[in-house]
Amino acid sequence: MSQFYPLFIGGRKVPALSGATFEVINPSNGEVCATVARAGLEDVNEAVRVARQTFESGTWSRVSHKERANIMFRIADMINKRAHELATLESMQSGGTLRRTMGSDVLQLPQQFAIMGQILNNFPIREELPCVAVPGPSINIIEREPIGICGLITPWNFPMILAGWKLAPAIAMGNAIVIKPASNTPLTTLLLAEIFQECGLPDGVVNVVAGPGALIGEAIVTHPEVDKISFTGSTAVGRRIMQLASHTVKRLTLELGGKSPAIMLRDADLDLVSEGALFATFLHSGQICESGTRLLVPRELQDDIVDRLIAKASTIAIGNAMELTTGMGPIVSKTQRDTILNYIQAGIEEGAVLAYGGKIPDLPAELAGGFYIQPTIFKNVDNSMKIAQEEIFGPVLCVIPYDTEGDAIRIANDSIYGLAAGVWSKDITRAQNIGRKLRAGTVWINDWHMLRPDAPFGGYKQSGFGRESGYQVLFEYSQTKHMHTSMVPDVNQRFWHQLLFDSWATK
Amino acid sequence: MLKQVRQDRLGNLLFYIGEGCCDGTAPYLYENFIVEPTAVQIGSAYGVPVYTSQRLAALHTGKTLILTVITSVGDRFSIESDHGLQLVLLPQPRKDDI
Repeated sequence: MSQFYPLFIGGRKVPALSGATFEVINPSNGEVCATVARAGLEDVNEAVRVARQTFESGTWSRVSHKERANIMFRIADMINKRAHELATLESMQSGGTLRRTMGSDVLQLPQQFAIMGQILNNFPIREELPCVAVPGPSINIIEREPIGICGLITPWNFPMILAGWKLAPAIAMGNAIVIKPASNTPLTTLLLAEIFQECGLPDGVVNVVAGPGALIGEAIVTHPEVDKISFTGSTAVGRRIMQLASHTVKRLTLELGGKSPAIMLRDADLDLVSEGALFATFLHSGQICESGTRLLVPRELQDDIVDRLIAKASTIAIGNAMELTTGMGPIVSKTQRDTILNYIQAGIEEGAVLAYGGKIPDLPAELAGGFYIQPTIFKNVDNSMKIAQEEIFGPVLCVIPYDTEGDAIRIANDSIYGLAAGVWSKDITRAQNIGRKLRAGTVWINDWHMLRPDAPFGGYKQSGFGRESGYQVLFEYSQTKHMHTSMVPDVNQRFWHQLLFDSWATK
Repeated sequence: MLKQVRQDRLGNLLFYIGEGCCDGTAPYLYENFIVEPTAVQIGSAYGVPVYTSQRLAALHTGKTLILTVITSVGDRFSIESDHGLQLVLLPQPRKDDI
């Protein structure tokens, strides 16, 4: 019998009003690992109602930003204390390796809250503009307020980290939140809501509704009491959300797809690239929006680098995500795995050369129910092929040969996406200059996946808009108000006389 | 699947084959969705039109796309997911499969 996880609304753990539940599968072995309350429309409406009531009461929204920063630091501490629990749950539900969830995710997550606390302490919550005499003396204050109710919708690939990216600034700015995690992976978000409560976050500030279906997502995006939506997921759904949100003119942050290119220059350190390019593509089995899935290489170096990539790829241990010996875990679901296999077949039919992998690996019997694919490398890929243009969201690296640096930049930018990019070269200045020509929100020089809570992350083009992390994310979760107070002493000195009342002809 | 969906979705339905991130290129069933002016209708399924972007239509020229309904716990804003179903694309059948 698997553990039951209720919804979290108004500080209480509650079953769905309908009593419905759904199951969460462990992708490493295909077995049920949890049962979760399945939210319906009525649960979403209740969560929004509670969030609105909490927001209007001021128990969080009107607390000083210094006090809010202190709670952020407390949350960071508590996440550290419960790190092992969070990392294990994340690995079990998402198929992220324990090596990654323990060794990286639970180090990043508390930092997200701590850094937001620090940024908040120095944030211009209130600014006073200089006094001007014309058209009349006045006091002018710019104040930044919370927006109100934020609807946060997160995906299944990094459920805990991406929830943290959205929750930290939303909470920091005094908003109330309804968060809907992906129904494959709701467990760590539910645990985070408990942790926030332990740290003194008032009830009703964070409300978690979990459940499959379009209905509850649509309900959040169209609800007239929800003021802002932040969504990470597919471009196709991002477009749908923009349409639905337009009915009530909601603020939006969208983090969507990517097909991020890495340009290997002729002077690159090939040993570095042979590991780095694989790290870029195969971390979390390629299920990362900013994965480096296109490696652009000088044509004459393609065979050499592909041989080195294959040699390194063959050392990656595939297995149960919760074993510390595993480097690359499963794909999140059977459907996703089959979709990736379809793309691999498409690549072969399009004429790309399958240089490595491409199949379901042979694994021990206890993993037969899981969803695995070998790390896969194609070479001689043309950028016009489907495997180069469409986001596969799996462990598939496309090696694309180029002739001139100009060609490489053109090919790199020839995508509807612009989430991330990279350059591999020993000449840092040249690499950075190329980086400036790449249309992407994050550019890595001789690296990949390195993100930090104080650096903005987000896309160009159809990879979305808005930024998460960094100083500017607090603007995404705040409203700006200009308050002008007149100090003109005498009604006859009012500027409005010139505009409306007195006739210029008689003066 | 369409009969089930029609029970409580009374607006205009269409399939849109979209792309990007977690779901890859996949069919979505939407109610009252506005397609872009350059969208291409590539067919219809049981009277419901199937659209895609001009770009995806060009990438898949000459291919047959099969929209399949499977049982799955999904939440892609695609409305068959309200009934525990998910739309996926299957590859075109190879000559030696027929």
